[in-house]
Amino acid sequence: MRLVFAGTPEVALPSLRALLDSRHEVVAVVTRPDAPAGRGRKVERSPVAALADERGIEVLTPAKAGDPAFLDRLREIGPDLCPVVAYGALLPESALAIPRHGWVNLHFSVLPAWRGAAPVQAAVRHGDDITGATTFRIVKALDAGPVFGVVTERVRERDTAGELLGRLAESGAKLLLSTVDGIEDGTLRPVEQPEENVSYAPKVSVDDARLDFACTPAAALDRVARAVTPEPGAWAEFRGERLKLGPVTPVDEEGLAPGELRVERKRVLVGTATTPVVLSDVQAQGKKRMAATDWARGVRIEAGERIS
Amino acid sequence: MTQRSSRPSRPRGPHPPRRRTGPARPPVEDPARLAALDTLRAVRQRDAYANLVLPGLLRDRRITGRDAALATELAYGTSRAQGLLDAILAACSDRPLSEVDGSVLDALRLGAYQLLRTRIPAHAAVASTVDLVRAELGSGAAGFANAVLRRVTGQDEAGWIDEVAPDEETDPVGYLAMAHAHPRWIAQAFAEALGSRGEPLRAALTADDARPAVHLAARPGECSADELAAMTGGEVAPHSPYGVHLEPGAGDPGDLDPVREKLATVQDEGSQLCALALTRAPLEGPDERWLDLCAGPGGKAVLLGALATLSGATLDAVEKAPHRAELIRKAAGDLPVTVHVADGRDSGLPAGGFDRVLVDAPCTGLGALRRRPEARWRRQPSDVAPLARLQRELLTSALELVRPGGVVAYVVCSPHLSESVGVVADVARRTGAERLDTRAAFPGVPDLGGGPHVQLWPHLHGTDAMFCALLRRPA
Repeated sequence: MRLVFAGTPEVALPSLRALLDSRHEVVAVVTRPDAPAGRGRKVERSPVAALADERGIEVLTPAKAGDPAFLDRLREIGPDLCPVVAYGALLPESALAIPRHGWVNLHFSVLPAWRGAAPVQAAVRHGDDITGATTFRIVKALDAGPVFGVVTERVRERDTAGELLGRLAESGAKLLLSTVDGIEDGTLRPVEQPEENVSYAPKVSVDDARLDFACTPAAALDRVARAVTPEPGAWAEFRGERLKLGPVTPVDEEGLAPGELRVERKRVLVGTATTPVVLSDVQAQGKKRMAATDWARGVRIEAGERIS
Repeated sequence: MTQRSSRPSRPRGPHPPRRRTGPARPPVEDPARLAALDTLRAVRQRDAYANLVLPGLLRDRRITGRDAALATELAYGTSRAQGLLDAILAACSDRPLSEVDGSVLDALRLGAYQLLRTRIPAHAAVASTVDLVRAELGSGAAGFANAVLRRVTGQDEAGWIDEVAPDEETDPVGYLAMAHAHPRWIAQAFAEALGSRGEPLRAALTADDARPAVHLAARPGECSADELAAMTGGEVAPHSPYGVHLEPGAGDPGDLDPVREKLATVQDEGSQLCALALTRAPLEGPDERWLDLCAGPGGKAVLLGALATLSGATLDAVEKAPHRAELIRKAAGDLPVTVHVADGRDSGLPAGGFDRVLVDAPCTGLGALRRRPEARWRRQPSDVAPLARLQRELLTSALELVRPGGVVAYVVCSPHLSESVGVVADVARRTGAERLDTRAAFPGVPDLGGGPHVQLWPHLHGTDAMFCALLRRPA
């Protein structure tokens, strides 16, 4: 089939690669416009655009997916099907109507759980044991279309959202390819999602990633920190400045007030609402990321000092 | 061999000698403060609206991220606090503010705001402001600005309020007005609507002086509040079934995908509730013809149009200004909305032709001051009477357009009694319209008072201070 692939970040690459290497023909990719990124705010090509450039495939970057010029070009191309992985913008009905077989989205949860922008972060944050990936036909409502296929994936005890998403991107790519095959062969019949047990996973803001050592139990802090790693990254305040934090590990010990720091030879502990947690790595403003022990030695933490 | 471009190359050789022009002055590299200052100047010189000027400046000058956030905080915050800042600056200046050059005064307000209401260190606030003044007006003005701002640093906001505000015991309204940076007459109007000069007034003024969250309305039938919250990272609103709140300062909501794709609009939750109240009022007989008599710029018309689609009704929208009527047409898209360019007092529509009519009347906007930074200092007490007269005429007209037994919702974004209770009581008396218990059309909303009308408040409901009264035309 003639495909136009829509996707933007790194996590879309395994799917795009799988489709490029398949019996189908990827004639163009749609991706979010180049955006300034990182320190120095250099304008960078999206990972999907970069791979498409490498393979000599046309790249479309409409500012919004309803742009008439974009829709015209899409009609000219005339795709049979448009697979989507983390494109990052809504598709208006005018775009949905163009490909013969519609648009198929690979979403990183077992729908109807965790519709929305941050399903993997929500799964880690809520302590789900099992999550997965789903392919479904895109309809106007958010992540609500009929489902073609599902794979499941266990959430491991120390998974960060980034690690889990990495595995889902790989298993999801296989699912997406078999979905595209099945649609072409006419062997797949999509099934409507159940109406009950719908949940939503809004995108995670920087404020959502603040660790509140005073009011949160150690086990919950552990999940929150893993859920927001690497994006947007956990943080707390130390001496009035923002301190970025990597994952934290609960330990079964006692004796620290909420937020209180204790520096040992090989560990830095912080008190929580329950038992303490061990800090892994930290990044102070304007500094490089470093092991928490190195940081603690550098800033000379005094007895009783707190992080909040 | 490579081909040389045919474009003429730059002349070779040494650069021409630099001309010396007086003492070198360092350029001001402070785009955020400069944008804030230029906004204040536009507001002062040409009666501009801060929240229309600033976004354009930020776009044109490509100011983004933290600089944009700082410019917004400074421009809006300074506009909001102007009266309080002026009282403090007057106490710190050896000449009357009326004799200070307008541009210097803008800069002084900007500097004083940073000193009193932000966490910017005092030395940075003073130095950056003095730099702006020096770059624009020379070192004489800079010296004056420096001297005044140094005096402002002598106390914090609370200390200054104690010094410049009326005595709290003898003039509680005057004191609260100054302490929360409101003109006295507006604080007085709030006090009358609240029936309080004490804690409720303090709470209302405090909430009115805070930076409001942006509210979105999911378009009924297109997406749910849950979906909208998931798409935008906002929170589902507490009272409106279509509402979502975004964090304050979350950037330009017009850039959000769901807004651009017309799945949602930017609309205060209070406006949503008042439009919904019209549809929730009990009605006997047909319920197919709805009318929005003062529809521009179209927020409530779009919400009502979407609800009309779902219930098989149609909406007529009346707007006097052709360009605003065009805005409504665009926003309504394929909804069953017919737009008429006409004065609501003389619309030419058939008398008794509608089952439900909304009158969202032009008003002083005292209930939406938190969303219009400079408005509180621009409005005058003399604005109230002519608006109240217009409101009475519009409401009377609405009661003629609705069929016997039909319902009219009268809505203003002002708690001023002359524009709210006063208008409704007067028109009801003269037309014989029945006043319904409007609270029943706000299910689940707490603190609605003794009725029969509804007054929403920022400090109680997190909405603008919207007033809503439902009336029924006698059968």
